[in-house]
Amino acid sequence: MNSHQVTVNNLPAVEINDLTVAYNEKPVLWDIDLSIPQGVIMGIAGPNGAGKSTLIKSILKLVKPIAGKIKILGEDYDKVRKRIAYVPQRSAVDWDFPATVFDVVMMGTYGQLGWFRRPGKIQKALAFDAIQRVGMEEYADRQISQLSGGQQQRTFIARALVQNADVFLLDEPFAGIDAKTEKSIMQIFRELKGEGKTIIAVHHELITLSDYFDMITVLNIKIYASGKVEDVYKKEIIYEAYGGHFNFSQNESILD
Amino acid sequence: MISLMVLLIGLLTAIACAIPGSYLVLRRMSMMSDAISHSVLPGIIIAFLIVLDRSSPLIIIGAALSGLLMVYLTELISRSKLVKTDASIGLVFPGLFSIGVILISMQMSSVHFHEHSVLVGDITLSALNNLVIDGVDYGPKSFYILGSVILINLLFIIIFFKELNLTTFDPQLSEVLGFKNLTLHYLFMTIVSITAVASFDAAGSILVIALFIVPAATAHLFTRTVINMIIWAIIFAIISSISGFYLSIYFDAAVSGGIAVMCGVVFLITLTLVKLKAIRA
Amino acid sequence: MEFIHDIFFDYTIRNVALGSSILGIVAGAFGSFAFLRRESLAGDVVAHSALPGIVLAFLLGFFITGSSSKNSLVLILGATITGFLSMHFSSRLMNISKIKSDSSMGIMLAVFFGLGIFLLSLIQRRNIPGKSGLQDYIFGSASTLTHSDVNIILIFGALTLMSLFIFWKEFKLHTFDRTYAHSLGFNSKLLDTMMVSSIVIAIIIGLQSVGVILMVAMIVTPAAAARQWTNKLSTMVIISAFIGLVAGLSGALISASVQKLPTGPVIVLLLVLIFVISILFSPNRGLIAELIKNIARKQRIRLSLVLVDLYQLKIHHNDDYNVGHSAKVLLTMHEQKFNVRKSLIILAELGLVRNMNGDVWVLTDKGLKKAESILLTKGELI
Repeated sequence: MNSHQVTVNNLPAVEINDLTVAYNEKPVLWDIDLSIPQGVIMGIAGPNGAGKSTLIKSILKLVKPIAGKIKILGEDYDKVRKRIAYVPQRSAVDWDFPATVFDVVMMGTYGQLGWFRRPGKIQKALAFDAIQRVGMEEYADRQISQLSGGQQQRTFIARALVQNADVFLLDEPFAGIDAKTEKSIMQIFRELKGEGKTIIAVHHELITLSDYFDMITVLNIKIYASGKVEDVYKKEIIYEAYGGHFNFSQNESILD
Repeated sequence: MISLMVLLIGLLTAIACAIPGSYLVLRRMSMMSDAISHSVLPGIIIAFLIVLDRSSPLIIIGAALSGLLMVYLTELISRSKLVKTDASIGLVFPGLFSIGVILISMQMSSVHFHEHSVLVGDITLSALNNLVIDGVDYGPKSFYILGSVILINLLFIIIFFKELNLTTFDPQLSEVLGFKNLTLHYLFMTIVSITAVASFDAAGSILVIALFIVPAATAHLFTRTVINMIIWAIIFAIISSISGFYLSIYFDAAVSGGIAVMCGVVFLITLTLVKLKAIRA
Repeated sequence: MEFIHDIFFDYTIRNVALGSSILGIVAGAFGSFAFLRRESLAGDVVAHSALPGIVLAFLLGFFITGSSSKNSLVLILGATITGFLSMHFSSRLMNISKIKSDSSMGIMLAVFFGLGIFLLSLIQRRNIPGKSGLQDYIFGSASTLTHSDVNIILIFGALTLMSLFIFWKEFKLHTFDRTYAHSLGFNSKLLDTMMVSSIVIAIIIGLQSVGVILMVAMIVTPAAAARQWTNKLSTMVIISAFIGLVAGLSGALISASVQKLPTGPVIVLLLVLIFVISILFSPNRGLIAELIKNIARKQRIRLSLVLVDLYQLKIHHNDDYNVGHSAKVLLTMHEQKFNVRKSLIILAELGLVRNMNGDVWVLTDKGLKKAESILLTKGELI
């Protein structure tokens, strides 16, 4: 369980079998089988309503599936919870909450602390390291409502870094951020990958898909393809998954 | 002497309510707290009909239970997705409150309860209701009840500070990190119900909502951390309760109404100052 | 019989019955819009905030004329003004500060109502003639309705209902999608003002009978109950108005015939009863119907999963039609407790699979086609 001992064994980071989720009449995810190896940057792509966020939430046990089983690092979620970091969509929280960047990043240490125990010097040092790593040290004391979209996202990434996890799950980390943040987030992802960590991110935009990720899963309720970018990022696959909802005239060139 | 007691009771009520108030505002539960403050009524009445003693601690338990029942029913209805959350609050609390009012009007016209005092409270009466043990007068009972509630509320906030902030700011992450949001939610709702009922006796239901929400919202206008927000909420609650008390004395009107009005005045002044960028904390 | 006779001939009871019926209809009809606009609790705020307006109007009338006629029209005007003001302030507050809607409503409710109580107690402790009736506005007292009160309720009720009739199309469009309504050239600000005014008036005319505390139930509950029975706006408004009428009328009559029973709470409890029945038993959306549907839906998904598994085994093994697979193999494909054998029996009843011998099952032609279509359509279920 020591996270310094880099986990290069053969277990997949995430292994999903027969996952079916339905909120209402129609299934949101249908019979998903997916295996994500360790040490990759995996993008989950698909059109609106494809169940991308639901997939992430199922891995985190935030939604209850009708059928299927999910293993993370070969274990049940509850056993490896401390080795997983989650970055929700930025819009999922209230940025008027009275807190500074430092306060928010500190929240990443709460999982290790559990109930009742208070964060101390060690946790503060960890939080400050993470803030430096995302290049936010001059904003550490700033009220979160006064951050730009990119700065908010970097704060969220720092909070996940504090968790010192092995698997990172991110919901739309690149949505609505500036180019500088985009680059620094990619830089962090690559560093994490270098440390043997696994990054799994929901990504909406097709154009940048192949730049950011080394593996892609194309999802639209069921899985259309999953694998290395060069095998999956193909016109016919994307077209099939996106159906009529995707306008190819703009994007055709990048897909060839 | 009595009026000093009234002032002190108002002050203690203000502090007791302002402590959980900040989280009520941040968790967007302002209207829920209003609903709770109404819903404790049937619990109070039914507990009273059982024990027939107005100062029995069982009354607080009964009230807390009916407050929690309100929270539970509201969630049950909105979880069914048949009705939106705001409407389900509006569905549940009038029902519970009506039960309370009907019980009062049917059974207890001869007893101390009166529909009107439920709303406005009877702060003067609570100032006169002293704790007497073996012939020794230890001052109004309300002091002890409100004092304990302040203590409980402070302890709750201190013990669960980290967890409260996390579930309020990012409930999904909190769940992912292994905290039980629902447990904490009901614990917090219990605190709110206890506070509502302890304040009810002294101040009635309007004052409870005014003191829960307005000072905390005033502090939210300019504070940058939760601790500061709670501290400023308490300060504003103290200012409003003292000035509201004197306003009521001057006009010979209900103390609870006066305090609610002053809460509004303090909010308006603060909002103006914030807009003029005159204060920061 | 005597009671029925009284409804028609007893002055008080006739007023009570008529007044409560009309306000029930109006509140029910406009409550539907408040409910769909997600402004149910705004109704609570308006009702509470009307109190200072009522008291101020009374005071003003007293100082101007020197006598205190509790002229309902003046009181209604005062109530409408403060009700409007608090709603306006509450939405302004959200725009100019980081205060969220729930808190801005809470602030307005508490402060306006606090002011109302402050003023009311101020009057109560002074010797002003005619002050006693004001207190009835808090919990409502239908039995105090006079003939002229009923006339005023009737006139305002008729006016608002008429506007609903005339602007039906616009109200409907605006409630559903205000930006779209605007893009079609309807003045959305004007429409909004008209709708809010109608809702405010529907609330204000009920205050004397139901009281400021509980008026929110007159707005929310009939609408929430009606919503369960229909998906059509016009039907919803009619059902909601009817529920308001039934609860208003019977609540007022019950309270008028029992000593000391306040009207508002009785009406509210009747409404709650109607709501509970609706939410449990409505045939399409009701909880009981939903429960049954849910069980059926889960079973359908499970049946589909088992069918697809059988199909995938067949593809995987390049089967002929005659070779089946045992339920044991299918069981291993799903670790969760998942009644595979029971599903297979139901699938067989549907003619999608066939039992070969013992535990071995095979797809029928029909089952084969169904499995393929399930896979093709991403979970088009059995």
